[in-house]
Amino acid sequence: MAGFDAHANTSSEPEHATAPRAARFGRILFACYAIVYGAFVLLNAFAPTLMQNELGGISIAVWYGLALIAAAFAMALVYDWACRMLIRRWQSTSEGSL
Amino acid sequence: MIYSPSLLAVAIFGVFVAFTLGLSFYFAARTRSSQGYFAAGGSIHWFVNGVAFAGDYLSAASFLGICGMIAFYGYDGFLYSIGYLAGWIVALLIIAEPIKRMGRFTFADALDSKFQSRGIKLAVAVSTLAVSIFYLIPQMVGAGALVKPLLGFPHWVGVSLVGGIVVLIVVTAGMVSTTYVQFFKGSLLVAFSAILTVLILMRGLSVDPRYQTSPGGAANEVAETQTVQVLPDGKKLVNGVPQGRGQGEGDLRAIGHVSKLPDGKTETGPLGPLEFLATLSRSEIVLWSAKPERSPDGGTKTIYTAKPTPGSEVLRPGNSPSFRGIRSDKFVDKLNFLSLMLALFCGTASLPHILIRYYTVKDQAAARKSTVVGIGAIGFFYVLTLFLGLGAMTSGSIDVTDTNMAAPLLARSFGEFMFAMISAIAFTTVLGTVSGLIVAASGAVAHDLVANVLRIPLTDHEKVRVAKIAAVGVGLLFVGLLVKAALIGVVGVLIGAAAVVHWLWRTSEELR
Repeated sequence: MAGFDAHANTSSEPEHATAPRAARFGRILFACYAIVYGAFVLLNAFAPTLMQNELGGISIAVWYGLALIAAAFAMALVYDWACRMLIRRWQSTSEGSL
Repeated sequence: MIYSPSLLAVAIFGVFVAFTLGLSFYFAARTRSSQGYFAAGGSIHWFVNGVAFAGDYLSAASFLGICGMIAFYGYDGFLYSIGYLAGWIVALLIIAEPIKRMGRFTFADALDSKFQSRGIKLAVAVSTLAVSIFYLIPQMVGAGALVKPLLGFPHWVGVSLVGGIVVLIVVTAGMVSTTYVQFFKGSLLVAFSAILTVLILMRGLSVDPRYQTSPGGAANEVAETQTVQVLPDGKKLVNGVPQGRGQGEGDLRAIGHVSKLPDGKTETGPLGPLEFLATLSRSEIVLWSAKPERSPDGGTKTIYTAKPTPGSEVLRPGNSPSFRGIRSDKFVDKLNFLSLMLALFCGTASLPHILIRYYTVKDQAAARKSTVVGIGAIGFFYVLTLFLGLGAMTSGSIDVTDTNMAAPLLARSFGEFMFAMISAIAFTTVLGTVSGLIVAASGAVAHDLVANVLRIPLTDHEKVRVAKIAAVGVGLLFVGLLVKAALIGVVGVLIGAAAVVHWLWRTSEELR
């Protein structure tokens, strides 16, 4: 088994080449989440009675909270998938151009 | 309440400590370089790193604090869970990639590669130290406060035990042992929270016998209060009698009861997760409020009053004293809430012990994948906090004077083994978070301040040595301050300072 001292923090070429597009996609996802989270916070602050309404016997406040947690995980999966797709596409075009 | 500490909890915690220290010494021989010490050689598997993120992040505040807040006030505690997790989106989508791409050991490296400014490096190192220290204080205070009810040791033993073990973990193998301790703790915490949630759902909800309808048909009215009085001479009276288990003494009654279930039922039997929430929302739960009073003779008295509350009110925001502003008409009161939620959203991305974890994996893809695993594990845990908190609220076993004990006392309602396990995990939780913070602080001192800001030439081994001295200094300082024996703290600082001065002197001699 290898030790822990090998210097390995390097950025690979495909990662480097696709970084600006991945970052742009990350910012779009971030903006979407920030809007949904911001709406949650504002609704709690300015319309707390609205959050009390029930859907299927459970308050909207609980549903919204659970949805925010699930959305964070879904967004993380989408972002990772998108970054891998960008790299795959970059690799296939750079191989094609050789 | 008087707790009977569990020998089993002490034994399980002992096994955890022996395991983590064994692991640390095992890795010690292989982590001699600064790359090994600060970043585990970049060789941690992304899955292990992801669970270690959870171990790093889910501090005692998340586990004990949030569960306690939900158990006492309902939905408001869950707002913390939501905000704490949302912060990870900022960390993943905005911070992770540039930090990993531009840095080597610390957050300061990433900024330095962009700005090449000594001032910025100094500012970041100081901010890392300040954040680490302010984050360490509640962890260590929590360790001290929990050790008596959970393990039966006095306060100073708790703080010294945590301080000593954590310093050993950090100085032996730095980020490698810290990562594995956090992986171990993160896995245990999530797994046992899931087991506890299943047990809560299997038990379902039941009405406390005192609130059940009497044979005559009318529901029993239970007007309950409890009092805790501290006399000027320091003696403590609970409900009018001295606190104790002897003759003529008494203790507080455990709280956390359902007073009514939907459709006049007295128990529900096993429930599904959504069914549990829906049933609770249509039930009535007895919540307690506290009113402290100061008596003219200098003593204090706190009156706790029971208030049967509709479940639909329990599952809405704005019940706790900290979030009551939501229901106020004043904009300023609402501003407190907005400010807190913004801080939770942005806060995660600036925690030094979280940021350094991006350097322990080999590349950006691994950093990204480990963040996804981290978000999955942390998000799952935060969903469980809702059930753990509400489960404690209806367990009939919690202490009206201590919100932090809600989760362990909930576990006790499922038997001694669960209590012992959860208590030992609560303590290991402190170990994981504190070791991450001490690595971050020692990196800020050795790598950022000494090597980069003061520009003192250091060999690789010297840098590790300075970091280890800093880790011991920070650990001793905290133990010293928190056991209120300032002498130990001062000695710790002096030892650290003396070692640094000695080494600076030697370096300057060599340069001459």
